[in-house]
Amino acid sequence: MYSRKKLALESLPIVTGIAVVAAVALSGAYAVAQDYPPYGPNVPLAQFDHVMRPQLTPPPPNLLNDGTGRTAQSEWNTQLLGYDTLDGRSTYQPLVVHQGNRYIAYMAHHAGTAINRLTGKNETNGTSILDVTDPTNPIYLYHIPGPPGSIDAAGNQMVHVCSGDTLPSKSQTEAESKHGKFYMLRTNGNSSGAASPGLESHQIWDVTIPPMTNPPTPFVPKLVTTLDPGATNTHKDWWECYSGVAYLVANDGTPPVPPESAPGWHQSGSNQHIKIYNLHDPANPEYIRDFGFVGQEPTASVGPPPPPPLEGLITPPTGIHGPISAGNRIYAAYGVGGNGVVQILNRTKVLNGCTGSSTCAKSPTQAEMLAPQLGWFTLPGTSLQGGHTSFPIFGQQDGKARNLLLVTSEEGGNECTAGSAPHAAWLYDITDEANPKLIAEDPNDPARTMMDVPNGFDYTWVGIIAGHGVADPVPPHNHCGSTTDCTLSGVYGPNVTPTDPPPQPNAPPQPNNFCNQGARFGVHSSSELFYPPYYGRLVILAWFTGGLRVFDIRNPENPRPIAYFIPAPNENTFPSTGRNNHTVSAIHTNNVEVDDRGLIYIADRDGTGMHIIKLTGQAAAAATTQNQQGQNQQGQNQQ
Amino acid sequence: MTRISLIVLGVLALTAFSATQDTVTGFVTWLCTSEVAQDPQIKQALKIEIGNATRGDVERLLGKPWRTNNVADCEAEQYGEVWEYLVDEANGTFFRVHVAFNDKGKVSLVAKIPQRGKPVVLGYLVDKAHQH
Repeated sequence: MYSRKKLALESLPIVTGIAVVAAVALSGAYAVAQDYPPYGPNVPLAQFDHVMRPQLTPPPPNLLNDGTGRTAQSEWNTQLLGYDTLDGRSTYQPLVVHQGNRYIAYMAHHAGTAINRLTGKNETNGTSILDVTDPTNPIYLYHIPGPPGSIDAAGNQMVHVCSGDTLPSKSQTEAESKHGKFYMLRTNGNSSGAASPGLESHQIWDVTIPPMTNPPTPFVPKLVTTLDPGATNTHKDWWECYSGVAYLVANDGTPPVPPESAPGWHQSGSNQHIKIYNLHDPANPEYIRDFGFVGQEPTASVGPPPPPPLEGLITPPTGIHGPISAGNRIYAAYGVGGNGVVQILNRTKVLNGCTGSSTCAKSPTQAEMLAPQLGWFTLPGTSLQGGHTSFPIFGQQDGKARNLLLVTSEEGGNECTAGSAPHAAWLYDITDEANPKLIAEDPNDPARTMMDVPNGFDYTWVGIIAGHGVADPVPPHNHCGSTTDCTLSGVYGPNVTPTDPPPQPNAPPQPNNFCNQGARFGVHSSSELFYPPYYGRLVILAWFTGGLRVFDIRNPENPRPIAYFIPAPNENTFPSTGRNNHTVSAIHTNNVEVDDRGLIYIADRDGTGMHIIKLTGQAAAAATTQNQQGQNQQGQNQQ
Repeated sequence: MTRISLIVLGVLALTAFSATQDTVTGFVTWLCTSEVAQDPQIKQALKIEIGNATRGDVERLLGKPWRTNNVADCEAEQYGEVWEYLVDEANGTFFRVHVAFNDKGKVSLVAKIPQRGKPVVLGYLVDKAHQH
């Protein structure tokens, strides 16, 4: 393999340690973030402690003074640095790449149409590309439109970018052809549904920014290739730049279109499994295999009547939302917002598990599905919570290895649907991968976690009914890693917002709260960059109408809220409709990402735009001050 | 789940709506004499037959939208397509006409979104399947 990363690839798993630590000490971790997933093969090593820092109550949000009850811009240990409208396009995933000497933001849009400010043309939503080198003055560089036609099947919600110099090569010619270039992998189309299956795909674009010239050289991204044009239901991919391996989330339509199409995979709810390629040469994708949770494989029995699940909660299993690989592991969250299962996999066995079998890649046996699996678990509330994001945090405590997994569900209903659980985030101790343990459990929280945001503006719960859940059908009926009954969960009742009938006759209506903002309130996702100063210290989450939420996890047994940022709705914000047709234009923080300067980017689902945020106060200090056991160490390889 | 649909027309800030509203008598008259209904674009929007009008019907009445959106993550049942029209006002401000479609492709809600302040819902489809 010809690559600048050749040495790193061949040295796995070797600690790269001291030199990197020295570099970090000198440069403040500025340069090495690109050495970690998904860009590089190394993983940081967090240092956890036992310090019982006081729990903090976030200040209530500011409110607009217009009688709507909407939240206004509100900051707690954060500061707004920059903003862009994104032309009012609804946005899913933000990604910011250190590209040469510039920082380039790729903002991946939901389906829709809007006018491109650069051309004046009305274009289908695709990918907005901005130069955010100066975060106070984002420069809109280009909009790559999405697929034409019905917006039912449109949108380009997901994006990853790799440097051609990081991607490995099989020849000197290949290496030279990619030198100096950057490649963007994006989903192309979304969910065409049963009526017209197989209209989606993935695309790779050359997004190399031309060097500064006078006059300026126009930046015009070029389509390199289209993958799997028979795909359906694309979703959140993961692309390892150091290896080229891409885990594409999708399903395949029927009839199969490309040679690598693998129809017949099963799933309940979210309609996806993983299609794995090596995209080291973006112009020539190499198909590896399809994979998922046992019971998804085409040969599995799904009934009727549906047989009991071998693992997980239902037959067929819920589909995957998005995998994250790090070291020799893949962490896969299934279910999105319900029937959640999280799976820990041996990466090598996944990638190399189909040698010697002609059918394994597209239609594996049950044994071939189980062979790479190291562990799995469900979530508190079982069917009420889903696996959306699973982000590993490798670390040490008391001189011993201690590895954690951050898991989020996804809120899916506007204004806190009655009967649904508040969707939250959890920390699992996965040091023993076969027996993950739920930590930071709060039995008084509806979702049984200390990493939750109550819906009241005073951070108490409004309208919760306790004690719901569905039993885990697989013996021993408790796979959530708790020492208590996993099925117990609080749910939102019928009296949550001021538009609902009061809880008792003649009682006042419920107070205005985060569930009264038209849109969803609850967690969606976490940041996914392995940024050393925040790694194992801060958890950064998108919480829909709750905005950006940051938790301090230096003591994983005692996570605490430490910062938030709630943007204000603006003239582009789409209205959302919630309980009792309550319709307001309110913010809807959809996803969050960090760059390797520590800046935080949030994208709005309802067209409010992109906000660039800096941590301040206690949150900034938590990332930079020494904890009980010293600074984070950098540059470890894992497993 | 049984779906019971009923068209309710009215000019109301939806913060005042309650789930018990299930009649149309009286609202139509108020709608047609309200200040809101004086805008030509709003008058056209009021011709949209909520619950029956398709994308084609809306385009015939209002033209091509200024902006559209569909925030379905990955599943067809999440579809929530909306169209918006930008309307300049004489005083230098603007408002948006907001048209939402349900998963059957029929109009489910029409609203006037002022540049600032409360949206004014012109009509919506009560869909018991989606009530909380």
